[in-house]
Amino acid sequence: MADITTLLQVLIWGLTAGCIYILMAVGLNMIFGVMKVVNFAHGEVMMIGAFASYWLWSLTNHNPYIVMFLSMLLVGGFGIIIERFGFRKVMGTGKLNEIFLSLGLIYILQSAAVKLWTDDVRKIESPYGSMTLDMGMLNITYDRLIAIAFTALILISLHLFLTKTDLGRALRATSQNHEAAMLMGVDVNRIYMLSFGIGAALAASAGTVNAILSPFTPYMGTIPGIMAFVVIIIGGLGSIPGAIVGGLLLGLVQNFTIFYFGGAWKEAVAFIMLIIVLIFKPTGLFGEGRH
Amino acid sequence: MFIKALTGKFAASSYTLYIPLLVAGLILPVVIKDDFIIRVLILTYFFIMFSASWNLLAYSGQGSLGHAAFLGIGAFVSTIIVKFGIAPVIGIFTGAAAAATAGLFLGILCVRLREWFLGLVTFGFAIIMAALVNESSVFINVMNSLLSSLGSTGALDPNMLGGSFGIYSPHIVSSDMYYYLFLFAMTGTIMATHLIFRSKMGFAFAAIRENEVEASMMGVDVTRYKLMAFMISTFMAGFAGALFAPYNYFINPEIFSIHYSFMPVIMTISGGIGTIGGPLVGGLVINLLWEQMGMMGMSIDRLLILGAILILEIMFLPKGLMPWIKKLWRRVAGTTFQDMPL
Repeated sequence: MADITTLLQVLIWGLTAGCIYILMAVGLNMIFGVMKVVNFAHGEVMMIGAFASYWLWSLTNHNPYIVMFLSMLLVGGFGIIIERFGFRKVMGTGKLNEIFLSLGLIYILQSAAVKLWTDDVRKIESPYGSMTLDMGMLNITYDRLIAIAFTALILISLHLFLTKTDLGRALRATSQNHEAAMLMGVDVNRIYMLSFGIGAALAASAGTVNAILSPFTPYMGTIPGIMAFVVIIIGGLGSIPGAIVGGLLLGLVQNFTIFYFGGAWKEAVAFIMLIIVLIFKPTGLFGEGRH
Repeated sequence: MFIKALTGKFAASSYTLYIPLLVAGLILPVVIKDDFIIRVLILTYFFIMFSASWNLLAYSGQGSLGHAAFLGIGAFVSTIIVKFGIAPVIGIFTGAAAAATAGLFLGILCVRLREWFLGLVTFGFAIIMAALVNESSVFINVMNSLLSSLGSTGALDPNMLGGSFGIYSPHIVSSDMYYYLFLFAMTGTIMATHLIFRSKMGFAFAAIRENEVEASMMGVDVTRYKLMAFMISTFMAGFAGALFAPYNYFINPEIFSIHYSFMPVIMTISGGIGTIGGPLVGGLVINLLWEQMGMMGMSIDRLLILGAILILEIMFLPKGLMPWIKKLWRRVAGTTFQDMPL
């Protein structure tokens, strides 16, 4: 029913959607893997990242892709503040308390954003907005290609950071056993702050990519936030390869579902995938036993 | 001294305290003639019911972040049933049963999983329900073709008018009658949680919450009791939703929003999580605060304030207001019994 170019087009859309999910899910997994805390407000951190990039872009008029790195730094710092004065205070007082805290954060961040910046629809205009790569019948906008390349770059640098540097090793040690890491002289509290900061920075990059590709409002974060959870359950809680595979899978499945059945099924298909994974492999595709 | 006599000497059980509560509730509409205040009270009772159902689930150690899903299922299913022309009473219980079925389904999915998984799945479930019921949704189209094939005229819309208890008019039943309906339903829900907490089932819930492994070692069937908690709690939530739809006279996918999932959490935590009176106290305080802020013209600010209240409570007042109330009650009444319902 559809020719090959249309299918390739949907494939590209699925890949870019998957990239946003990957950036979100890898950040969420960093936080979970190291701190064993599930941050339900991750989607709202993404929204803050989109706004940070939007304001930096509209006030300085620089290239949004350069501004994005500054916004990642800013939101990373914001994530460290959330960890230090929020999650740190309730860690160890029961898992439910951490969940409730992030629920409160959703409310605060979302309504603060509406209050500060109103809920108008905004968009970051990319300088490459109208440029496309022509490949015969297939047109791919540069923005989508950049999003895919950028995600690959982030993942490679994260991998290098985690495997080649002392700090990355300390981070992995903390995620395996925080008491043993503490005994080996790792400052666990600093590692917690670092992992939350990295997670928030990744969410900010996802928010910026999303804001460049499509218009956004202060409520933009809710659905990608949920989808990031779906991705990490599909991929396996705490597993970064799982987050990558799960993100691509979800992005592709969602876009092909939209293409064949219509947009109304977009969220439903994600939930169906989640249910299938929970029934047949509750630990996720790459999960290692029960957490 | 009257209170002392009532609670000390003549108190057959802690259930005696329901009498002054009910009497106060029954007298209120006689004293207050203001329609707006009655409406606020009805909403407060509705939220107390909803919080009590959430509290029951939290009592068994399962924190749902998407309880609005079950509220909405109850509301929508009961409205659809009434649209088919079936008596509203059947509609309400069918709605509640449908919510309990959805709850059982989610419970089976999550029973092997830990706290955050349950939070994730329920949180997502509410949002996905909203997307399913939303405009241009396949679900609505399927239901509509089903309705027309059965020869019914009432075409469904995501923004449905709920059938009221009379016929399809809100004017048949006065707001006072709704007030009493909600008062009795609320008291019944609180009493039901009280009975459950004091029963063998309630002890099983508490044991599971404290330590699942130890509970199963003591012979508690963890899976069975967790599913029971889920079903009872979602039944109550669906019941509250099914009552809310005809009163509100209008339901739309908004009922699945995070706001409705969030309200029972903040209310129960404000009152005292895992206590019988917690939802009552928290529901009263938070809903009256909410309506007061609404009257003062705050729309976004009140969301901000609620979020801040929740975070501050978790940090500094994790047990809620109940310990203070118990202390105060002990001073006034001079009794020390432990399982006071309020």
